[in-house]
Amino acid sequence: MKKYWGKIYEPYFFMLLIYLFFLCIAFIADTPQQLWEGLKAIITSRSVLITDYIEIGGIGAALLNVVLVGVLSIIMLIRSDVKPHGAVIMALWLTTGFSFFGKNIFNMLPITLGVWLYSRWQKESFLQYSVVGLLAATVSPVVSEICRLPIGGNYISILIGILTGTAIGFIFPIVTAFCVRVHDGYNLYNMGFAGGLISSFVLAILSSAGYTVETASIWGSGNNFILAVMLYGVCVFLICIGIFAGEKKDILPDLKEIMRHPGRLATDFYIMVEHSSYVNMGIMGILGTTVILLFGWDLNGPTISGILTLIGFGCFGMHLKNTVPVMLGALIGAYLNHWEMDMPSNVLAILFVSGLAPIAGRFGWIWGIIAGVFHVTFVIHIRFLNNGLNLYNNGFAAGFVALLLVPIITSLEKERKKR
Amino acid sequence: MKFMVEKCTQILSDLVLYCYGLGATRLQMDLVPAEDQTTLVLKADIDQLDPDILERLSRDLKQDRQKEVEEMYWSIVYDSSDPCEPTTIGMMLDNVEVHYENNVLIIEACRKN
Repeated sequence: MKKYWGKIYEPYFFMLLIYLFFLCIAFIADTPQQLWEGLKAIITSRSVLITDYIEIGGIGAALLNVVLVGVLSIIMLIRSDVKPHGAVIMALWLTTGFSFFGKNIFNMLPITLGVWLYSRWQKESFLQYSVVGLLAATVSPVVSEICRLPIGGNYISILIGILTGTAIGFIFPIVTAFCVRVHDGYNLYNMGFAGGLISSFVLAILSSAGYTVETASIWGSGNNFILAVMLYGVCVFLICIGIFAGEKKDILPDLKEIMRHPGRLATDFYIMVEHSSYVNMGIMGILGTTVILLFGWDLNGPTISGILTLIGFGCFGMHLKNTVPVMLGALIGAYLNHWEMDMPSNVLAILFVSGLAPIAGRFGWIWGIIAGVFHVTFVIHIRFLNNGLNLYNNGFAAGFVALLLVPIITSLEKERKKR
Repeated sequence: MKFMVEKCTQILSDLVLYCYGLGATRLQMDLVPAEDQTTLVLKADIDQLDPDILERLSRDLKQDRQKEVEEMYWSIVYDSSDPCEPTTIGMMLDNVEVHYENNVLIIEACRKN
């Protein structure tokens, strides 16, 4: 694999270019003073679902947070000598996306430290846990929330918050490895499922101790033009990488090859078709952005996060053929339920239902649509189990939907084939 | 490396399930554990295996070993009702050879401990 300056693998280099692009927009959008104030507001925010960092700190500060988190993640990967496969690239995009809402330079570190300590405990290289180390930050609002609780003074609260995050990071690799068995790999957001279980226990403990955790509803709007230009710009850049950076010039057979796969965990498109997977990532990003704009919804921190998640999984299991049916199902579900279709939970569910894409990929588009309807119905209710302490809440819900649907579908399909 | 034995036996059992799905009528397997690596050999009698399927299987299994992913997803192989994606097995193996001769599919794989 090509390296730049002897150390930086090509996919990391491309990510760094995107961060540079974000940094330029940040400095164009806000003054250095505004960036600093905004970043402070982001780091000291509660960060529970739904906390839009663009609304809290402004576009510039949110982008600066994204760049700081992203660059730190890449440094960690380079130092651990992690070769960028599909899962690693996906984890970087998810980290980037959730740095727009909920994950910041302060609340992610204790959890990553916990994962590192677990690797030491197991006497194994951190390389093996690097992806978990990045994605475990799904529960980073736990750190922010505990740091703000009135537990014996500010510094004690902060210390307890950091220690709790480290403890969660320590057990995260164990829980996540087990969780994947529950849904047989049909929920791409497995970390969200593990994070949902852990954060539900944390909420239960906090409630038992007499502390209350309220959900948030900070949802920005009015930035569609600049954010759409930014997102489409990123997608076009990814497609250009796919077309021009690789040795192969014929992309279509590779896209066909990608779409042949159901996308169940763990399907690594980057290993299969290398640069062509970037074209798929760009297409997924265009799909997400266009859906939001087509319905006149808001591009903001949370929805950007959903779009960047689609991009990330464009090299690790998602493609148009398996994602469109579940999104269509989620749209139908959102239309049918009695809430407004543009309610934040509905909008996010329509983007993040993509975690169930392998159901459509493996069992066909009808089951995909059914899964989508189930998901959007279920996700609204499951949030109250952890009150926004788990950022990948849709992954938590998708785990239950897959757990319920996959055995039913498998059984019905087997019977149908027998006949 | 944790769960070495479990991972090897489950890789083999998943390959058996996969070959069964391709219509295998007879299956033979070898698992040879050694100090530094484990060798797995599976022979499956399959009539007229589609060359496209053979090519895809070979390509999917011949992935780079991905230790950072293996730790998270190997339990799909361990405890799945369906055969998992061959790519998932491929990322747990160091070297793989896939042949098809005289209606026998032979998969030889090596996994460093």
